[in-house]
This record gives sequence, C-alpha cells and structure tokens, in this order.
Amino acid sequence: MGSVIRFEDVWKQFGNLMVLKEVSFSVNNGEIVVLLGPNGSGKSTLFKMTLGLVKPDSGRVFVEDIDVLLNPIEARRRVGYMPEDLIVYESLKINEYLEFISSIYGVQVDIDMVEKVIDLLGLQEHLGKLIGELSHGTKRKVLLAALMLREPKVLVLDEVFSGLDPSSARIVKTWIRELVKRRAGALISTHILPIAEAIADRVLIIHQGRIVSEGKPSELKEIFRVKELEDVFLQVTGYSSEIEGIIKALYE
Amino acid sequence: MQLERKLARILAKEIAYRSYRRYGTQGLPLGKMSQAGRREPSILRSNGLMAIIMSFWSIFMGVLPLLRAGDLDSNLLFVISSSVMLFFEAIMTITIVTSFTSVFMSEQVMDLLSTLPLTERVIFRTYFRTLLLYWGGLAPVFAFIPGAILGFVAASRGLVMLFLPILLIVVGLLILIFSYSLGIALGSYARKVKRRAFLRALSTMGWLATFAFFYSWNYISGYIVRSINTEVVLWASLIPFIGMLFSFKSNIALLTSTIETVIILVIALRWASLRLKVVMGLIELAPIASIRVSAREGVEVKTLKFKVKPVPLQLIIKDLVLLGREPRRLASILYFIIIPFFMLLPSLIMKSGPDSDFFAGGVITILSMVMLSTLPGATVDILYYVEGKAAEALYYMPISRRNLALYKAAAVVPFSALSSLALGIMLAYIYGSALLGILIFLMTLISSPLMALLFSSITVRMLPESPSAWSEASISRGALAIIKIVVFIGIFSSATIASIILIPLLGELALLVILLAYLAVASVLGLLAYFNIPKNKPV
Repeated sequence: MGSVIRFEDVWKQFGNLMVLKEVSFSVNNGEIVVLLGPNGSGKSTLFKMTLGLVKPDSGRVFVEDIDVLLNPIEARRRVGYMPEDLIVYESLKINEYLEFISSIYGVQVDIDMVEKVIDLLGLQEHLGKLIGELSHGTKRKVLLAALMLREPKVLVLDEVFSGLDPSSARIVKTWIRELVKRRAGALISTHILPIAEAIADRVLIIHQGRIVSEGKPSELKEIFRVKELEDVFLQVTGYSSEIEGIIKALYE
Repeated sequence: MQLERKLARILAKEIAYRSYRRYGTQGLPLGKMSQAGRREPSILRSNGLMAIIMSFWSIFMGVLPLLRAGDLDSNLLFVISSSVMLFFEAIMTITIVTSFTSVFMSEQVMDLLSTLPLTERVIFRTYFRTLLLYWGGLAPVFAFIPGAILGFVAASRGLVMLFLPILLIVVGLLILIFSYSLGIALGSYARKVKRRAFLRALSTMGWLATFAFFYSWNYISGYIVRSINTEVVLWASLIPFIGMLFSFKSNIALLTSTIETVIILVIALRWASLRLKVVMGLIELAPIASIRVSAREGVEVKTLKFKVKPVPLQLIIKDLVLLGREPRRLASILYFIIIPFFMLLPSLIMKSGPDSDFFAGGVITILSMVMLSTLPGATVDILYYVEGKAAEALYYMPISRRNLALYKAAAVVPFSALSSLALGIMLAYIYGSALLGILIFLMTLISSPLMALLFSSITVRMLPESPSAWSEASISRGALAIIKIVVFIGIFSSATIASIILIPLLGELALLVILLAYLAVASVLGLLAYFNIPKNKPV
C-alpha cells in the first residue's frame, strides 16, 4: 500500500512566525486521514504544499512519489484539491464550470455521468443560474461535482463539510469512502469532530505547527482515556476549563 | 444625522474598495482614483477634481457671450454654450450615478446594511449621502453654476437677457434630477444584466457609447462652437430640457419643451423610485430560473450541454464567456478595435485609392494597418482582469505561466480577426485588388496575436506569487500603460519613417514590404517576450 502524500521533515516560517515544525507523515492509498487543529495551526499551509503553492523552508513533500517542489504542475494534475474559501467562476453556469474543469484536467466523462452527479448533489434545479447566484452550500456542491467527475487519486479537502446540510454531508462522506476504497487516498480537514470520527482511518492533530497526536480515533480515545474525540482534541490543544468560568463572569 | 454620516463614510470606503478590486481605477470616479478605498473618504477629494474640470469647462463655455465677436446674437451664443454645458452635465451625472448604483447592486453592498437595525429612511438617506458627498455626485453642479454666474455678469452688461442665466440654473437642476433618476434606474439592472444576453448587449453598446463620447468630446464641442456661426435650427427648441432655453426666440418653443420635459421627468422619477426600492432590497426580485419555469410549464426547462474540449480551446472559450457577461470589459476591448477603425475610415476613403495622391494614401493605409494590428493585442490585459476573484483558481490548476500567457493571447484572435477582416475588405475595395485585401487580412490577423503575446507575457509576469495576494490591483496598470506607450511610439514612428522612404521608391509594393517588416518585428517581440518573460512554472 504505497503513499499518495508524504511530508518529510517539513518546516515553514512566515516572517517571525514558525507555522510548521518538523512535520512528517504520509497518507496511504486506500486511507482517509483527517487533520484536526485549531484555527491558524498550519492546516491550510500544509494542504497548499501538496500543490506547491507554499514551498517548505526545509523538508520535502511528495504526491504519488512526485516531488512537488520539482514538478508542481504534475502534482496539481493528480491532486483533487478543495480550498476552504470557495474559489469559483461566479459568472459561469454550473455546466460551463464543470466543462471547464473537466477539460483542464483532461477528464473523459460522458453526459450520463455528469447528469448522475448533478442529480446526486441536487444541482438540477440550479442549472440555468450563474454560480454567483447560488448559496454557499450549493457553491461547495458545484466544486464537489467537479471533483466527483475528475475522480482524482489524491484528495486534499480543506473544510469540505463546511456549509453542507446533513444529507449532502452524508453524500460527500459516502463518496469519499467509495473513491478511497477503489483507488485513492484522502487528506481532509474539518472542525466537525463527529464527522472526523466517523470518516477517519487515522487522525492527526496539529497544534502550533507541530503534529502533536496521531492514531485511529478509537486508539486516541483509549490513550487519553476519554469518550469523545472532542475531549482528545481539547486536551491536546491545551483548552483550559478556566475559560468557561471567564465566559460566565462576562455577564455577571 | 451623526449615524448617517458615519454610515455614509463607511459605505463610501467599502464601495470604493470593492469597485477598485473589481475594475481597478476604471471603476472609480476621478477624485477617488488615488484613494481606492484605502484612505478615509473625503468630500473634497471625492468631488474636488471633477468639480474643477467641470468648472473649467463651464467657464470656458460661459465666457463666450462676454467675448462675442462681430454682430453675433449674444443671447443665442449664451443658449448654445449653455446647451453644451448641460449636455456635459447630463452625461457626467448619468455615468457617475450608474457606476455607483451598479457597484452597489453587483457587489451586494446592501447586504451590509440590511442586517443592521436601520429604518428605510436612514438607508435611503445614507445611499444618497454616499453618492453625493463621497462618489462625486455633487460635482455635476459645477457644470452649469460657473457658466450661470458668467451669464449674470453678461446680463449686468446688457449682453444677454436676465432670465436666461436664471433659466440655465433651473434647467441645470432639472437635468440633474433627470440624470440622477436615469442613473439609478440603469445602474439597478446590474445583476440582471449579467444574466440576460439582450441586456448585456445593450449595456455593452451603452458603455461603448460612453467611451466614444469621452473620446470624441473635443470634436463634438468644437463642432457645436463652430456651428454658432450658422443659422440656429428650429428643431433645437423642440429638445426637452435644453429647448426651454430657446424660449427667448419663441413662446411655443418654451411651451413644447416644458411639456416634454415634465413628461420625461415624471417618467424618469417614477422609474427611478421603483428601481430604487430594488436597489434598497425592499422589492425582492424572483430569480430568473423560476420565472422561466413558470413561463414554460410542462416543458423541460434545461437540457444539459457538456463537452470536454482541448485545454487551450476551453480556456479561450471560458474567457470569452466571462467577457460576454461583463459588458463593461467587453466594451473596453471593442472600443480599442472599433473606434480606431472608424477614426481611420474617413481618411482612408478620402485620401487613398487609385485617383488620389498615392503617397498620402499609402502612409495612412500603412499606419491604419499597423494600428489595427497592434491595438487588439494591447487589450489582452483585460482578459486577466475578467478572471476576477476566481483567478485564484488558476493557481490550483496544472497550467504554467507561459502557457497562460499564450492562451490569453490566443483569446484575442476572435476580436482581431474582425478588425483584420474589415480592414482587408476596405483596402481591397479602395485599391481594387482582392489579392492585396487578402494579404493584408492575413498579415494583420497573424501579427495581432503576436503583439498580444508580447503584452500577455508582460502581464503574466505581474501576477502575484500567492493566490491570496491576487486582486486586479496586483497587475500594475501604470507600468503596463508605460510599456504600451513605448511600444506604440516605437512601432508607429518606425512605420511612418519606413513609409516615407519606401513609398516613393516601391509604390504599392511598399504596403506589403512594410507590413511584412512589421510582421517580422511583431514575431520577434512576441516570441522573445514569450520565451523569456514568463517563467515556465505554475501560475
């Protein structure tokens, strides 16, 4: 089972701020790895490194054994990336956007498949509209539809469940599982811990630029002797119970 | 009042920033260009520069009756110069109000206010306060007030009737109300324009007409001033608003024009008040898709079209679709293709051809060919701006900067093909040679994308390294403008010198020789830039 993504001793500094320290891990083929971490912990920076958008100060990043620093275009061709911010051509219609993305990545897809994906995500009724007129969640579904058509071997999904209703989130979870089972590996970030727990084969927790905890959700709960993944997260990232007292005191 | 003032300042800053982000300095009124939403809004800065320009023009026109020459009727002189002032006022006001309202609508600025606990009255007043004080909406008053003051001076010397400057102020204010109404109504369709092809075409033509007006303003005003010596035509008094000024000639003119003015003003005000409610979000418009469903009940509304295309073709199609949905940007490209063509047409017809002076005709023909080969290529930067915020998506795709430069240059071809074809047909007709027309068509068709490649390679180099740093402002318009000017001067001066030397020596053959030389220069410049300026790394 080869790795689809590999970080080897990656360090990154922005100005005086060290955002990534000694980061090493891999995502294997057929595996879903969920990266958890507080805001500003370096998750998005790590994700962008898989496309060569951010270069490490030291260390190396591989996508399917391709050194991203040496061949970023080839890496981009293989990675199915969804950014946290919805970056999409708002003046295009859904089918125009899907056509555009499929053409750029050279995806050979027939119209039946496109119709199935559109139906699955409930986009049929929005076909006549410009993407800019759609809601946040529906825009995310358009990006997902493009990824579904591409069937990439490497999934890098930053906050992919943000803005999705429960049934859409279920569809996405099922799709990720199915794709990974058949041919891919996935690196995902989310702040919705029940989803993380449900989908992850392995969880990584990053805090202040360093991977501070790693394991299967059940293993982590056992190690920290807690019932929920949320408690593991809070313990690892240094959440203090004093904060609840401070909040209560705010209005007293 | 305190609250409205604060809101207006915040709103002005936000709209200036959003407009700048979307259209660069083109989206801002004159006085705001240096601010771009970064500095605190200032009434003086927002209105000052425009007010000075308008006052200058108003004084220039208003002083004419005082300097009356010979036995010219100074009342007539005053009325004609006032008409020019008022025409300028109307165009400027409509442009200012339309641009403000369209940014307000397309950038959904209302969403910022609608969640706040504000009354409709406060929102209305804030909108107008922002427009008037911080978007140059006050400046159009200076298009006629200085002229009217000079009119009073002329009246005190007995040169014009006293009621004429008073009438100028009244008509000036009426035009202000009318232009405000029209600007609000037109600007309020900004979101609809994006969705409907007919409105987009209409809007493109509207912007083209506006650009053309600014270009040709000197000619129009010069023509009007020169026409003072000719007999004033009677129909002038039938024009709404301006016609009222001709009342010193006839009471019927005053009556006719006043009735027309009142009718037009009432229609414009009613239209604006309805559309203003849309701007303020008080009337929720049904989405276009749902309108279509109800209109064609029982019929399948959408059939899915989907075809995977080669990457270059897909990128070009995407650019053209985006451009087609942005009338203002499309008009900017068409302007550089159509306007020069029409500028050249009369000279070409008058000075070229077998019966005319071959030397003069030849020089003009060569300059036309060079201009129409260079200008379409110089508009390639607009194809980068049209990406908007979604340009960030290019950073995630497997596209190199060098290829992007090439694809953008190729997207200019449909536009340059049109102008090349028109030039080829025109020259074939003038010189009576189909072969010459075909050769010129082919050569301009090839050279134009090569020039586009030069400018595209320079533009792609200016793209920021990080997607989050992308905004329209990250491509330096100033630097691009300087490069374009240097290239134009170099090419035009060389073409002029070459044509002066070669036409007497080679005759008709000189046209082809110079165009071949231009093609060679364009190839060298374009290819050298393409292989050296953009790096072969991802966007």
